[in-house]
Amino acid sequence: MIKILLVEDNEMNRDMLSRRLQKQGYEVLLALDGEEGVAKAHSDLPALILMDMSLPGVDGWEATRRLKAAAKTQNIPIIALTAHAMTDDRDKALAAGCDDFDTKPVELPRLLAKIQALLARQAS
Amino acid sequence: MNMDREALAHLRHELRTPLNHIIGYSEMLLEDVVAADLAALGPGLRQVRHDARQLLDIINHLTHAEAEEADFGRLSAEVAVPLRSVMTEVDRLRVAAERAGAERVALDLNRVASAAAALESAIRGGIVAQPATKTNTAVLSVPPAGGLNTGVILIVDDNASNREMLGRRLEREGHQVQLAASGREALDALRERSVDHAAQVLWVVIHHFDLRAPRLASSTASADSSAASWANSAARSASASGDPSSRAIAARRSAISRRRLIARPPVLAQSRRGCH
Repeated sequence: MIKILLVEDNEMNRDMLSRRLQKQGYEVLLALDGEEGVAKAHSDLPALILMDMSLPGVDGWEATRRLKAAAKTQNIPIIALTAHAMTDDRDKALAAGCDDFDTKPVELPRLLAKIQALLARQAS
Repeated sequence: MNMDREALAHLRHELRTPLNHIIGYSEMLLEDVVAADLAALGPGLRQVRHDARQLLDIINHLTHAEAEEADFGRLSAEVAVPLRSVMTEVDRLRVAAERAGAERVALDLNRVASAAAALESAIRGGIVAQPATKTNTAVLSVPPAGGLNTGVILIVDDNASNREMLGRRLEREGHQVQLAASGREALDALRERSVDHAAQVLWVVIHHFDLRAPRLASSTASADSSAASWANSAARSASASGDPSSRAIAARRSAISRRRLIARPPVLAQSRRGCH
């Protein structure tokens, strides 16, 4: 089963998105903040990471930078998730090293398409 | 001059987060009810999703990147109908789900109700906080719509249904309401408010303590003594933290006595007397 790490501090977002991804057949690992996200990425090596950017402590941008700087995790695709939805959020996320970007409220078909595209790119 | 970009981004985040919950859960529930043979709930859930998307359009439009200010008056007016529709429909769906014995669905609908209440509270109360590092930019507070000026009523109850039911009833009376599921959450909420409003103490925090709320309650105490224990623990934590709102909790400790306890189900008039 393909492992996706969801780094999200909001309990309802975590519950909702993890259940919807599980229904699609993914195994979902959870982390509540950037620090835990970086640690779980190293220990579990997920196929992909969904990273909320507004996190307490180590935020999504910093966690992404750390993951992309480490040889062990630099090839794991990261999709940034944010509810800010400002025009420069996408640029900021990509500059931090994210491979793609999506906004909340999540449109599941759109997010699934992005996940599948990145996983396919990874496999090829 | 344009509103501070960081404050505007934060505002959008605060408003879109509960909408994310409403849209996400309603979409997920639409998938679930088909699988669980509860298709009768489908039209109502589609209505909730439709209204929530309408709310998203309104919020996106009024808080776009070039907005000069967050027009809470207009926001409040434009969201009123779809938001009320979401709340009414979710209430109806929740009753239907409970009657059908679909506990998980009812639980998720509680979450939608809670998100809708949070959104309403954010818009009506202007509680959208600025980033902690910012001061004096984009002050977003507005007076309570009901004009009662009684401050924010914090309902602390670990039971989501009780919490939301009482919250909604008090909001209909014109109060601003904030919900907390535990004593710890209540203290955190009060601390956040003290940061936002330290310079302008325009409101009074009134506590509707559910004195058996978890986390700070004494696990071994009986119902009556756990009431006192919770209040004492909350007061001790509040005093130790040293911030103004928390000190307010401590100051109100004496008010939390057994004579102020209100039995559930709460009689609204009795709750009101307890507030003033």
